[in-house]
Amino acid sequence: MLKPIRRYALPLLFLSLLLQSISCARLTPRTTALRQIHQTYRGEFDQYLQLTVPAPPADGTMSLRSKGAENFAPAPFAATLREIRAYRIKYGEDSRESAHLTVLEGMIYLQTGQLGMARLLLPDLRQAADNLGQGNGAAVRDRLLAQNFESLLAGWTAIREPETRDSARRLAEAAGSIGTRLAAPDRPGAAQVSEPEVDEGAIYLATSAAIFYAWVGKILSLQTREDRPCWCAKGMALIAPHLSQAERRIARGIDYQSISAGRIRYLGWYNSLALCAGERPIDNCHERLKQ
Amino acid sequence: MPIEITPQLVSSIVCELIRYRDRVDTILAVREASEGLPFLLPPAPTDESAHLDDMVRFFATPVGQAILILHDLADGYESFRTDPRSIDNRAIAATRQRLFPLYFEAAQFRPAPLGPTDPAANGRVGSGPEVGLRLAWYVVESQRLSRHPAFVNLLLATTDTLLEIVGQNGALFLRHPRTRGIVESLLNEFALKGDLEDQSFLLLFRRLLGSTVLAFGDHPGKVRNQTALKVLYGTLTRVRKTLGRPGDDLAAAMISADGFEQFLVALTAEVARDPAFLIKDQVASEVVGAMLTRICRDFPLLLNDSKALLGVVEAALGAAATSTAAILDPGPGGSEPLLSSLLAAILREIGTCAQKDTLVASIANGQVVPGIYRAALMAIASNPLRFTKPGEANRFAAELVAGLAKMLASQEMKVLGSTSTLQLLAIESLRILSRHPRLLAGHNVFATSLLTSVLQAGTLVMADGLEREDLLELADQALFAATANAALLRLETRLGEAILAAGRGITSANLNEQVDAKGRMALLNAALRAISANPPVWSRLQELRMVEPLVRGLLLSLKADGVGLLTGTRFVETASRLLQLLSRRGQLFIEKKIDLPALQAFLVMAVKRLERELGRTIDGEALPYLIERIAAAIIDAPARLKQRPDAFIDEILPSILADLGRLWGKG
Repeated sequence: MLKPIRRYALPLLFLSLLLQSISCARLTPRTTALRQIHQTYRGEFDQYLQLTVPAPPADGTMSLRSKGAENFAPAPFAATLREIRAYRIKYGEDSRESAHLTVLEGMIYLQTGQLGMARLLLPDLRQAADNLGQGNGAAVRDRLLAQNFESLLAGWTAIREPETRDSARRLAEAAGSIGTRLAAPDRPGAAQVSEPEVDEGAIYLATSAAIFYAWVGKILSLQTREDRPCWCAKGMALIAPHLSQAERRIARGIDYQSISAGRIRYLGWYNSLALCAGERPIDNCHERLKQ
Repeated sequence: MPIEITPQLVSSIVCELIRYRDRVDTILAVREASEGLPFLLPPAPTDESAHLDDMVRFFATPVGQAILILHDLADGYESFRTDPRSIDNRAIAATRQRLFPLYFEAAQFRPAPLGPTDPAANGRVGSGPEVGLRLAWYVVESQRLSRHPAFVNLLLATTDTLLEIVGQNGALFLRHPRTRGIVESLLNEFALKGDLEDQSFLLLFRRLLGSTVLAFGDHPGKVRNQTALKVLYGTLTRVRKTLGRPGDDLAAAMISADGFEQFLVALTAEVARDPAFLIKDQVASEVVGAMLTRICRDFPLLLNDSKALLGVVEAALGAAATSTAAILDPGPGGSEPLLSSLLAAILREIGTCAQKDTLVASIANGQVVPGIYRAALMAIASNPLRFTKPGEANRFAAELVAGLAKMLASQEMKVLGSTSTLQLLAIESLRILSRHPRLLAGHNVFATSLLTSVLQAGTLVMADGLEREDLLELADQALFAATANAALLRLETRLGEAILAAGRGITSANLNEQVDAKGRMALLNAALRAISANPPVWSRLQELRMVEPLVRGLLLSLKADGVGLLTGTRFVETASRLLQLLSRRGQLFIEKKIDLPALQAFLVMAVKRLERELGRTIDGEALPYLIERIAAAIIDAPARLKQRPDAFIDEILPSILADLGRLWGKG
C-alpha cells in the first residue's frame, strides 16, 4: 500500500513548495520563527508609522518633516532586529531565509535613517544577493533589493544631505544605476525581472529611483526650473515598464478603490511625474548635470 | 490529471512529511521569506524654491532675526543671503536646509509636495481597524510560488499535530492499523469536508486530531470500535455546516473540554459495543447533529458548560449506539426524534426549576445535566412503547427533573453542606436511577421520591459520620427492592415516608454510644429490609404515624444493656431481628393490641435479666436470638403485658434457654 503512494509522495512533497502558510511549530520551526519575525516587523512598522508620520502624505513616502529614528523611542524596530539576531544564532547565516533577513535588516536601517548601520551591512548584502536567486533565474524582490541596496543607500543618504549639485549628481547616479539594473534582462548573466503583477520588487526600486530623479529636479530647480520636466520624464520612464497596460492607461483622477492598495503609491508617482513631465521628451538633462 | 485527495493518501504523505520534515521546513521557510512586507519609499521632495525669496525677506525682519539668533544661525544667514540659490556651496546649502523648516514653522505653512497629491489615496494610508489594512498601502509583494493550499494545509496540520503530540512516533501512530483508521476517519468525516483554507477550521482540526492522538497514542489497543468516532466526527461536520460560525463555537467547546480524550476512549470502548451501530451510523450522526443544532439555537448557555455538553453528546451517542429505533426515528408526523426532543424538554425543565430555586440553578449543570439525560434515555430505551404517545417523553422528563429538584431542595439534604457535595450526590443518584431503568420508566415519580426519602433518612441517620458511598448503596438497595417487589410499588409515596420515619426513629434513639455511623446506616438498611418483607403492614403503620415511635422504642429498649455487650454489629443484629419481628407482628400494633411503653419496659427487663445469665448459661453471641425470642413471646401474649415484667421474663426464659441449648447441641 505504502510503496505506490511513496512514488508520488515525494513529488507531492514538492507541492509543499507551493504552500499556504500555517503555524507548525514542531514540523517547521524555522518557518515559524521567520513568520514571527515578519509579524513583529509589521507591528513595529505600523508603530513607526504612527509615531513618525503624524500626517500621512498622499504618496506613501516618508514625510520630509519626519524626524525618523531620532524621535523614535525606544530604538526603532528593536524587537525585529533582536529576533533576526536570535534566528541567525539558532539557524545559521548561510541559508536563503537568512539572506532574506539580511535584506530586511538593511531595509530597516534605510527607512529609519540609520544609514551608517546600513553601510556596515553592504558586504553582507552583496553576498545575500547571490544567495537569493530563484531556480528559474528570475530576480525577485529580495534579490533586487540586495543587488540595488548600495544605490538605494546612496540615494537615501543624498536626500538627507544639503541640497547641492554634488548630492544631485549622486542621486542621479543612484537612480541611473537602479534603472540600468532593472532594464538589463538581455544582458548576459543578468536575471530576468519577475512579472510586475506578482513581484513588486522592481516597481518599488523603479519608483525609489524615480523619486531620486524628482529630488534631482527639485535641487536643480533652485537655479532653473527648466530641466525639472526632463527629470520627471526620466523617473516616469523608469516606472512605466513595471506597470500593466491597464495601469498605464489610467489617467489622473483615477478611482483608487479599483486597484489594489499596494499599487496605489506607484501609480500615484507615475501620474504625478507624468503631470510634471508634460510633453517634454527626455533630453540631455543628465549630461547637463554632469557638466 | 488531478490527484484525488483521500484519507489514505494524506496519512501516507504525512508519514513521509515526518520523515523529511527538515526539508519541508526549508521549503516553507523560503516561501515565508517571500511574504509581502511593508517598505517605505524614499521621502518625497517638496517645492521649497518657490518660497525662497520670501524666506530670505522674512529672516531680514526683526522676528526672523530673533529666530536666527535663537538657533545660532545669524552668521550663516549672512553668508547664505549672498547666494541663496547656490547649489555649489555646501555651507550655503546646509544653512538653507536649516532655514526652510524654521521659516515654514513661523509662517505656519507647508510647501506643496513634488509628488502625488491625489487625496483619494489618503484615506487608505495609516487608517483601518487592523495592522494588515493599515499596512496594505506599503506592502511590497514578492513573487509567489504556485500553490495548492488546501491539501498542503491539511498535510502540514496533520503532520505538525502528530509531531507535537507523539514526536517521531507520529509515523508509527499512522502505521498501526487501528490508529491509522481513526486518523483516516477524522480526515474523511471532518477534515476533507471542511474549508482547509480557513485557519479557524484548521485549528479545530488540529485540536481534534491532537485529542485523538492523546487518547490513543500510548495504547492503540484502546481503539475497540471506530464507528462511534466516525459518528462523532461526522456529527461535528454536520453541525458546522448547518450552523456556520456558531457550529465552530460548539465544536470548539466540545473539543476543548476537560476530559475530551477520555470521552473519545469511552466512545470506542463503551458506547459503541452494539454492532448495529455500524449500519446506522449515518442516522445516528444525523440525529445527534440535529440535537446539537437544537442546543446551539435554543440553549446556547450549554455551550459555556463544556462538561455538560460533552456529557450530553456522550449520552446521546451511547443511546444511539445501543437503543432501539424509538430513540433515533422521527416521531409521529416526522417530528423531532426523541433523542433531541427529550434533551430539549430536560433543559427547558431545568431552566424552569432553576428560576424558582437558586440551589437547583447552581447544581443542575456540569455532569448533572447529562446524568438526567442519560437516565431518561435509558428509561425510555427500556420501555419504548410507553413513550410512543405524543408528549409522554416530555412529561416524563419534566417529572424526573422536578423530582430531582425536590430531592435537592429538602431540608435534610441541605444540611449536607456545600453545593458541590449535593451536586455529587445528585450525579450519583442519577447513576443509581439509571441502573433501574424499568422502575424509572414505569414509576418515575415513585422512584425519585423513594430515592429522596432514602437519601434523606440516610443523611439523618449518619449525621456527622456520613459516608456517601454507604448512602448511595442504601439508595441503590431501596430501588432494587422496589424493582423486585411489586407490593412495594403499591405503597407509592408511603414507602419513602416509612423509610424516612424509620430514619428519624433511629436518629432520635441517639445511639452514638452503641453504634457508629456505619452501624446506624446498617440499622436503616435493616429497616428497609423489614419494610420490603411486609410492605402492607408498614404502609398501615406509617399511615398511623407509628413507624418512628416503634423503631425508636425498640432501639431504646436495647440501650438498657448495662455491660456493653449490645454494641456494634451485635446491636445491629438484635435491632434487625426486632424490626423483622415487627414486620411479622405489625398487625397487632395496628390493632392496638400491644402497648408500646409496656413492651419497651418488658424488653428493658429482659435485657437486664439476660445480663445475669451471661457467663452462666449464655454468652454475648446468643443475645440477639434470645432478645428476639423474648420479644416475640411478649408480643404473642399481649394480655401478659399487664403483669410484672420480671415475673414474666423469669417464666419464659428457661424454655427459651432450653431451645437455645438444643440449637447449640445441633450445631
